[in-house]
Amino acid sequence: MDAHLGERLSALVDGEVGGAEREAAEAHLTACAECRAAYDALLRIKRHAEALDDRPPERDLWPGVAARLGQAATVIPLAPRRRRVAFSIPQLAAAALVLMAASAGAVLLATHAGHPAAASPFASPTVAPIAGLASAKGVESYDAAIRDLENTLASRRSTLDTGTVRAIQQSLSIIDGAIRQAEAALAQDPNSMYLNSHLEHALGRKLEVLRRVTTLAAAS
Amino acid sequence: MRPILALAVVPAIALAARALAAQDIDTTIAVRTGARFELNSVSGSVKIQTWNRQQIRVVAETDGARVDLDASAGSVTVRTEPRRGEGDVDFTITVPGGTPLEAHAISADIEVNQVCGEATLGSISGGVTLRCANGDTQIESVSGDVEASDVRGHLDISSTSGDVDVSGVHGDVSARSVSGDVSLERVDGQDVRAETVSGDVGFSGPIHDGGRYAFHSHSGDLTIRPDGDINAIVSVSTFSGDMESDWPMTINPGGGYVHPREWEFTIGSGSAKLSLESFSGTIYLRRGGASHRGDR
Repeated sequence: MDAHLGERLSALVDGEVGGAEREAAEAHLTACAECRAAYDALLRIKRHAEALDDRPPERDLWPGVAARLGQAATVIPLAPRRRRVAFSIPQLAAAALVLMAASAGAVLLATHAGHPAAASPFASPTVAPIAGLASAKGVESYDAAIRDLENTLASRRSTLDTGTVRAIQQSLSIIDGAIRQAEAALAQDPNSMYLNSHLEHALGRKLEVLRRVTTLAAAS
Repeated sequence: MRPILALAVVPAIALAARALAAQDIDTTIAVRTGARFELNSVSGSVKIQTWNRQQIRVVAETDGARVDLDASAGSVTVRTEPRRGEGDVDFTITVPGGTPLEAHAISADIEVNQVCGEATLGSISGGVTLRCANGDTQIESVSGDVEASDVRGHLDISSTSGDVDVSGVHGDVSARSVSGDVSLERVDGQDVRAETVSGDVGFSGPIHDGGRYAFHSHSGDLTIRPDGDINAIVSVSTFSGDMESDWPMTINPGGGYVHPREWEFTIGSGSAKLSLESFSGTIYLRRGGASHRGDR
């Protein structure tokens, strides 16, 4: 069998390989299960990425980041260009980690600093690090953001009626259950793209609920 | 000055920034076309309806809370200020058709009937019901049920622990809950997304070529009933759930992702993208459009 396709997989998924080279690559894919699996995974990620909205950020976080870095809040605009999705599996894994860490960091920046360290009534068990794309570093970033918001919400729970607090706790408990189930499933199948994205989605859902409820509690 | 503006200015000056005493209120303000109405309430109830006059009428039955009212020809803002722990106010608001609305409450139910303008409505522990809107519409509750019908425009609707019921929408929809069911009936949009964690998700409506449709639940069932013919790449993901489809799930040779728990199949030309995910629930893809809740 020919050598594995390696970096050429990305170009193949992007339709940047043609002619005899493409025919040879496709022939290799029919014979090589390892390359075929990687190709399918890349194709699926590409479709997911293409399906994402090109949404602008809700607010510009750079001035705050720049102030912390002691830099001028100047951003040089880049010329607009067409979205191109091209990456390898290791790149995908790294990108997933960076994305999760950045998302959690953005949430932290967008919420308040300096919260009481007391145990929060909204606190949930820490999500254990797992194998696969949603790895320890990414999950820890989510955990930090979630803890922060739970403490913030706990400090403002007096502004909410007991029925609402109970409903929030039940909802967060349901999400925690989903997180634990996704975690257990990932232990069985750590390379499942769906389970990785499902866990990430569940963590993100919890962040979203906490952030929204905290905002509403602050405004009430 | 045009007569309609003359009508508007006099009462507007009289009422501007006026704090009304803690008593029942019934006041009517002349406004110009397109004037906005905003309400911030604590508890009680909020009903907003329409009439054929270029005026906004505010009726408030209060148990002691103060009601502040700011008015001009271009907008009317009403705010409840609790006094001595009393915050209950029952509002009945009547506005011209098409008035853009923004109403927020802590524990009051909000009901809007036939105003048919843009609307932003939110209640923390109350329910929200909107019948008829045109333009961007946002509805949110934490622990109450939310319901929207007869909407033309983009609809963003969510409840944390309540049910989400949507029917008769021409436009894109984003609907979310955590523990409630999400039901989208007769939704005609190019970008439709619904998700919940422990509830069920239902959808009926056309799947347009080039459109994007995503329905996700963790432990609930999905019942998707496209109207008419569809052309879509269907992506299915589950862990311990199941899938039943009225369309043949034929995996394309040489293309499409195949995994015991994740697979894709194409219906027709595959122009639209239809994503169906349920971690442990059953996914039903049914022919036949509108359904009733619980009908698989």
